[in-house]
Amino acid sequence: MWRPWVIPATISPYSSCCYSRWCLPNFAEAFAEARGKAQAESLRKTRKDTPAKLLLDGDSITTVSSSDLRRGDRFVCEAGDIIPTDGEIIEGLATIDESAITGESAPVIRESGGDKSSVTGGTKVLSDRIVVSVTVQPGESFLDKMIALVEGASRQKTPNEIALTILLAGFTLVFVIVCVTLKPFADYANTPISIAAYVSLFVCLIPTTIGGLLSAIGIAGMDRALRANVITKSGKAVETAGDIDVLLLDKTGTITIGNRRATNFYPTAGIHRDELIRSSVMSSLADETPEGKSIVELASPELVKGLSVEGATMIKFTAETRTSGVNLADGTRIRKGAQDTIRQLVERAGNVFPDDIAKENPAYFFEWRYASRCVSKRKSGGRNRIAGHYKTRYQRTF
Amino acid sequence: MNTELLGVLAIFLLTLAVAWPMGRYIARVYSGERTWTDPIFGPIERLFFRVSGIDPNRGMTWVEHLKALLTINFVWFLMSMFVLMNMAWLPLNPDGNPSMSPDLAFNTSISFVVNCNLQHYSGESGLSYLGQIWLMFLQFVSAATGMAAAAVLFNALKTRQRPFRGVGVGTRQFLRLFPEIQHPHFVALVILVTIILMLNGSPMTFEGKDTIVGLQGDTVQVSRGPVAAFVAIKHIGTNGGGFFGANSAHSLENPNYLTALVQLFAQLLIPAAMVFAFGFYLRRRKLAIMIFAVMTIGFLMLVIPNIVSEMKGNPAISAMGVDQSLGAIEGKEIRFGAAMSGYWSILTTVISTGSVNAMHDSTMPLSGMNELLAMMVNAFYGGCGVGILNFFIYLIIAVFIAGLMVGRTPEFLGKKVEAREVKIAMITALLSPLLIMGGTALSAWMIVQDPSLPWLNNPGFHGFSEMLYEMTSANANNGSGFEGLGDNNPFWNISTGIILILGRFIPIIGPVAIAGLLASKKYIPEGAGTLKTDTSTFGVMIFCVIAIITALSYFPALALGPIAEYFSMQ
Repeated sequence: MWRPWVIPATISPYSSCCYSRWCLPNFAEAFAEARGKAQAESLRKTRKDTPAKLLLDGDSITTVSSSDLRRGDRFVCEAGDIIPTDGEIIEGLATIDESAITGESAPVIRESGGDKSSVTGGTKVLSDRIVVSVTVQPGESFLDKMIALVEGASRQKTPNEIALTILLAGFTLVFVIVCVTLKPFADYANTPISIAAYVSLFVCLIPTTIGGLLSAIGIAGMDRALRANVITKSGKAVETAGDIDVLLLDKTGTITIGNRRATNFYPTAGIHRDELIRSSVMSSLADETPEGKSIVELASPELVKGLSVEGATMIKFTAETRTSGVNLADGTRIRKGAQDTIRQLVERAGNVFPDDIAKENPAYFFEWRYASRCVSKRKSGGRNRIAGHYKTRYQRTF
Repeated sequence: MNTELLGVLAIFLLTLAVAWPMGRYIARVYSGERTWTDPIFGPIERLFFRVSGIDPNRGMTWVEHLKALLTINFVWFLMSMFVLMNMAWLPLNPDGNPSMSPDLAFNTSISFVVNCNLQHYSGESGLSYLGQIWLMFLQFVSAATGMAAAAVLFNALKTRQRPFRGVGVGTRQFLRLFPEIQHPHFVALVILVTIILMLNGSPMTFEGKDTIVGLQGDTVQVSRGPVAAFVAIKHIGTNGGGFFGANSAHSLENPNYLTALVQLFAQLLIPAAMVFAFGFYLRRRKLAIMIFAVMTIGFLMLVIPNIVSEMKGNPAISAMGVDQSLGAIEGKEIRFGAAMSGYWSILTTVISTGSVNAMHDSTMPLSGMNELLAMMVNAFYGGCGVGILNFFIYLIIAVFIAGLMVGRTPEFLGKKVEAREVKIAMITALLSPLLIMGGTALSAWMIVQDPSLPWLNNPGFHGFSEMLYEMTSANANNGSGFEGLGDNNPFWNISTGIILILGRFIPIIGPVAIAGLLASKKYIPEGAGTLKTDTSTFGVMIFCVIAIITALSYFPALALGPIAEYFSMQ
């Protein structure tokens, strides 16, 4: 029997099913997009304008914003300053904490001339004073590139996304075929579909696949990754994570702050621990590096209380001497520094470097986590002796 | 009734049992290992290579291979056009049948070259014996073409080195598919089936029409010819074109229940064996079993409702007070019964055979829908060789979607599936809806424009189903028909002819191209994170991909055809 009413009855579940497929992914996509925008916003907020000490002709210094620096400008950085932008050292030498960029936690020495003269914006000068010539235009520095990378300004599609687009375009074409052929079908069945109904079916079907599946799949992937304790911020990250077969771990700036901190004091034979601590503290008072500060922090307040450096000459830590210390009013000279420097100091004065310290950390240069530092004390006119050493460890954020 | 079901079940299980060793044998032939047939065919092959001056060990790339394949098909097509359009004066024409019109010859030639065998003529009156023998030849070689393409796929997927330069897919392999693959199991099988048919009464003769006197005393002219061999190859090569217009429902093509079982066995054997051969060849038996399971589940989901609804009978006829205890027997042969006819109707449509032992036009609406679905999917077993190619397309799409779901770049057999492969897979997968829906829409539009066209004997939904079926059958290279359609006219001959070509060669080129591209990629060893393609989970995934693509593409057409008809009957 010829019953045209059957047609709308059989077609409508199809279209409503497709319509719901259209709504859900669109909502999901809007949600994901909003979250992405919020992340980019928070990134921009964290990026502060670093003040730069611009060196004018005639050696006068004015403080300007780092974004005002042009290529060829010269600026000055002193211990504690953040380097405002990428440049080349034209004068001086300094230890620089580059852990934020390279992940290398030990400070590096940069000096003018040679191939170790470039400095990167965002790194911190730990000691000394340098004059730097700017080598990049604003917005092209290393940091800017990193931010652009995070923001995804020039994001490229992954191979999977390209393939997926093809797949979705294919499905869209199926719907085009379905919609176009539906008209003659309906005409044949004597149930012409009104233009409005036809257009609405078309609209319901076509965007389904384009916008929909992509984000839905991405979010499903992010959710799954989260269940495996992997935090992914985008579908692309899920894909990358999925393709990982071998995981190589390296210490990086993201998990380590490149500050070496003292963790304990180890007196050498015949020296009281308190004496070592007092010497360490006094020799570190002039040491502005995180390591020097941490020694003062580590020592207990009772021991430090009685110390006095009145009339003493403070010797600052520099990258060249690799030592810091104090010359007390009574003539006592206390030095602390890298093991080999102190060893030289001690041996030049004709003393024996204690075996226990030498043994304690023979591979000083190769051991990154614990490094032994020595403290030597020399009474005026008396014999120079080693008070002991302390151990350091890198501070970790988590 | 139970006997009917048992017969169907028994022949299905028997076929699967034989398909397993057959698959192992095919795999051995493809990989060039020695088989028991070598002493017989080896010398012939060597002689052939010496005479023709072909170096059998020279490799061919997949592109060269496809070119060779298409060229030889084109040559066959031209030869076929010549034979069919000049049959009248050529020899072996005892009944004096006329030559074909150009559009019919075009349609028939293509149809037989592409393994479809859509017949817009009746063999009794439309062909001479020379024409029949020529078509038999095409039935052999078109099946072999499909298997040759599958062999390229197998080879390419096995290759791990790069660049892929015809490893094994040499002239030797291509030629082997004709003399050897065909000789042992084609020819032996064809001879075996022919003998069984002859013993049961199928004619095998070159004499013209016979005259018999019927029970009522009137004289009847009975067409005959080399029927038994034709029927044998039409099933073994999954061609399906009948010697007579009534195909395997004709009492001389299919005399009794036994011959029907033999024909059912013959048409499923090679498609099923090809799946196992895939597993043996690539040494991934588990993958092959998974593929086979997906195909079988799809097949059962189509065939069980069919058998049930055919055995239940037609409610419209019941309402008229006619007994339906034998099932919906209208349009069926009483010697086969409803259960076997239901089983046959799906088997012949999932595999691209297209031979019929009952009128598909008369099956129940939802049975008709299942027959359509079987052809729309065209990958549950599928035709000789091409079934696995079609399935490969779904496999690639499923691999890709599953890869996205687990968040990895999709891999199949250690090769990355990337944009180009997905593009080819999508184009191939899109072709079917485009051709089927587009073709049906065009014919529906023409009917609306000119209702006086003499195509449809049934108006309304059923007429729509008939047109849909014809287009689907052409696209799937199936060849069966809802024969209520008046299809021997230029529109149907030419439109289905074009659909036949596209529906045959693009699904061959696509998978072979994908496999060729995959072959030239770097092999990545399987790791813990690799998507396992031989698991049941992935099987479910492929099944869902097939179901979703089919439903999205064809639901509107099915709703307006068989489903609407079904509701109209309630």
